[in-house]
Amino acid sequence: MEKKDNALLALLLDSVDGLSEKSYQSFITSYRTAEELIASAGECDKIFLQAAGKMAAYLKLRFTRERLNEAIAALSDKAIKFVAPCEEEFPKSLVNPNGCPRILYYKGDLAALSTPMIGVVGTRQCSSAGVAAAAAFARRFAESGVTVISGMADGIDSAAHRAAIDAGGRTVGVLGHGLEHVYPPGNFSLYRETTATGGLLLTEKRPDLAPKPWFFPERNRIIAGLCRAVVVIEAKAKSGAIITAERARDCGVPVFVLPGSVLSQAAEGSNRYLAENPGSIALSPENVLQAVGISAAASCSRVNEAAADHPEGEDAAIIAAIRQGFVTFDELLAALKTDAARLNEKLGMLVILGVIRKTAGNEYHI
Amino acid sequence: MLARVKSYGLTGIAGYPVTAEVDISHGMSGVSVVGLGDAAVREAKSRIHPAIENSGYKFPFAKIVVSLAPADVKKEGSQYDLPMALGILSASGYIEDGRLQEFAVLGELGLNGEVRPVQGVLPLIISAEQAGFKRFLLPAQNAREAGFAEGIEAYAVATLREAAEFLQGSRTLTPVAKSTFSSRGHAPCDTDFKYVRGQAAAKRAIEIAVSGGHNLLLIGPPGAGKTMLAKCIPGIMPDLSYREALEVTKIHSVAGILDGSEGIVLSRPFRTPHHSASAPALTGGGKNSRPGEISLAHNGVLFLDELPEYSRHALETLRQPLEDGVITVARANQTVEYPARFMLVASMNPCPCGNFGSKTHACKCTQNEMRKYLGKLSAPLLDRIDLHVEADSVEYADLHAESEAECSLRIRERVNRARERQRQRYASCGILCNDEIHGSLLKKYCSLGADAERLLSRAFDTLKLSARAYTRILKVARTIADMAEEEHILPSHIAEAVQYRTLDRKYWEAG
Repeated sequence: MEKKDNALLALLLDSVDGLSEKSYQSFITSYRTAEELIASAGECDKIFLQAAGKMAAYLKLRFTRERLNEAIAALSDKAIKFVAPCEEEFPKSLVNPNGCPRILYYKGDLAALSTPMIGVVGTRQCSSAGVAAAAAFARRFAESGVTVISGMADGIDSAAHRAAIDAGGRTVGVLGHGLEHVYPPGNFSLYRETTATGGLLLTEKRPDLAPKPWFFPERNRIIAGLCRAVVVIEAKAKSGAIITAERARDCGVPVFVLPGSVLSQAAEGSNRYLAENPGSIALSPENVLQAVGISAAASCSRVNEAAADHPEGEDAAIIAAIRQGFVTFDELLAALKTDAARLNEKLGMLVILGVIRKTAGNEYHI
Repeated sequence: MLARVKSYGLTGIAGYPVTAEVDISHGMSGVSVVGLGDAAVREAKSRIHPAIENSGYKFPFAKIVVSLAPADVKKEGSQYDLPMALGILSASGYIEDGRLQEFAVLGELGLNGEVRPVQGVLPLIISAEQAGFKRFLLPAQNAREAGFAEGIEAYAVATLREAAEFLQGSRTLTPVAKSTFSSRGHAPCDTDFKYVRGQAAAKRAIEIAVSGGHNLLLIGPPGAGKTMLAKCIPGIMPDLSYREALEVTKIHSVAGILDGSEGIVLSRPFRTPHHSASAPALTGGGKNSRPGEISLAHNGVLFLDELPEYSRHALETLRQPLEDGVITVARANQTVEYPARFMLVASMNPCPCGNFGSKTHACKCTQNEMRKYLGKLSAPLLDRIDLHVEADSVEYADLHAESEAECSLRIRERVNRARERQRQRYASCGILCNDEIHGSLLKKYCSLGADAERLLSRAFDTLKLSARAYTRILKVARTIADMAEEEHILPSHIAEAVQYRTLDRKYWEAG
């Protein structure tokens, strides 16, 4: 892919470590193309010395044509692409004077960014209820044509990505490290599935940068900047999810927070956020979709069978019982006064038709 | 003087003829035993000397050489005591050689001349009979066991003197009476399904598993009663047929755990090795060529409580026997094959802390811990387990429920009926239950109607089942149909069978 020279400038500038914001700004304003910078650095002229300051000797050796070619080759080797703020495709919502990423590296389809996106974020040490909620929200969003964006971390993030993919939707993962790395390592297959299903992996970190604890809060601002709404499923007292929520609120992006159990540590931070911002309670996926002006898919794709729409006889009784809160097998058995074989068979049928789902703990949910 | 006595040795559960040759000659007095005997064989000379003296015979004061032929096969155990002693008596002129040649002799000796029982009598006699041996001289305490062998004439002796007199012709013995087999029915079981409250789903799954001989995995939080459920299984196991009982008895006899007073195994074995069990403890083999737990569970149940706690290596060794029904143990100088067709019942927690999916307790496991825990169970192993079922955590109210659940005896009657249907159907195929269906039989006996086929393909779509679940579902559905006394597999049977593939459905990833 032929890149415009001004995009290459961003790549060249990003290829060096330790460039302060101030000197970055002076470089990006002083030069228009990578060519200009290389020539100027080679001659060590006034503009270069002024912009580089004390680092001139160091930078002179790094802003060379060889270095630039190396960086381009390294990217194409690993099928990593990049987009610079000066380019057309760069997401407009990220362009702002404070904290605009210097460059974005990505794998997958950049077009995913032009679809409506909702962030589903939360803690890594989540409860099973949190995982179920994240999956339920993400699934509903995906079914309504919304791209689910999250941070590709363990716990809530992964559950949301996974559910979106499973529901046939797109998902965008914003990483806190370079694309050569997989973190957490167990998410390797999730990475692959994300890009294989029309989704996108996005990061501002150079491909070779390994994850560092302070990278993750930084990437949260990108999630906040890209989505139309952020849903916090569960957040601990000091959670990155709350940072995402605050950054989103600062950008004017609506934040929705799920109330969690007061007994659960996993929901401490999200509950506190709710206490401070009572208006941001998330009641249902539809409630969130409505707030951002997206119409929820009329009929959920799972429930489109005649049997599901108009259940009769025992099926109707089972669905009614589940709605009443008899969710485990034994509870259903007691409520419906049938025998185990018959109930199992009926439940199996409803599960296959996609009317109900079986979840951990032998529970059935609509 | 030279004497020869025929005996029999065992490798695995097959026998081979051994001849004890005794030569008494002039020279320095003493006994030497050759023929690659283990410690028990080498020590025999110290038992034989007092046994002969205490039986009223004179031990020859001469150079005695005992050779166990074939000389290049290792001999194990104490069953050569009696042949060697009779050989010495024969060589010293007490017994006539001709009559001695008619018998194959087995038995251990006590210092007072009594004949003690030995291990592996039934498999030994059966393979000796196939090799042409018809008459046997055995320890009295092995008589009942020997009575189950067909087409032989066995004589039981309690002392060395009795044996010698019988061979001299001065004492008459009647051949061992044929033992008659009647299955005891259910295995001894201290618990009954009627004491298990709730757990309807798990009980149903267990009934299906036992009816079709399927492998079963119980998943549930600690205290849900997984172990109790499993321990009720012996109470509903189907009757043991004579043929199956003989197979089991052979193995138990070799392992030395057979009850001599019964002489045969009367009910299906239920083995519960602890999770510290090593791979050889499960598979068998080792220095003394013992059958392992999986062979002892042949035709019965192998229960592995807390499955992920077993060493990964030990679990992986189960894969081949689960598929083939036999385990081949290669030892340094020989390869031994033991039958190992068992029903695997395993239990595990859903996560290391055990509370994943619980309504009352929060799971504190990180995703990595979960992954590590579940990673111990390889996909190929899980693939061989037909039914995955979750046991709910029991609530206090359930424990105090008034109603009593169905008792094991009634469940057992249904299981027996379902097994009988399978036995009749597969009479010509050489298999006994649905779990053993394979290859072409699957097409023949598990064909689906158009409705059922459509439902199954729909299930694969909705539930994202893995391809390997396919045959498992068909077999389980076949059993469910048998339990319902249906000729064909109906969609409803498929619907229920699909319920037992929890682990194929990315259960632990997203609720």
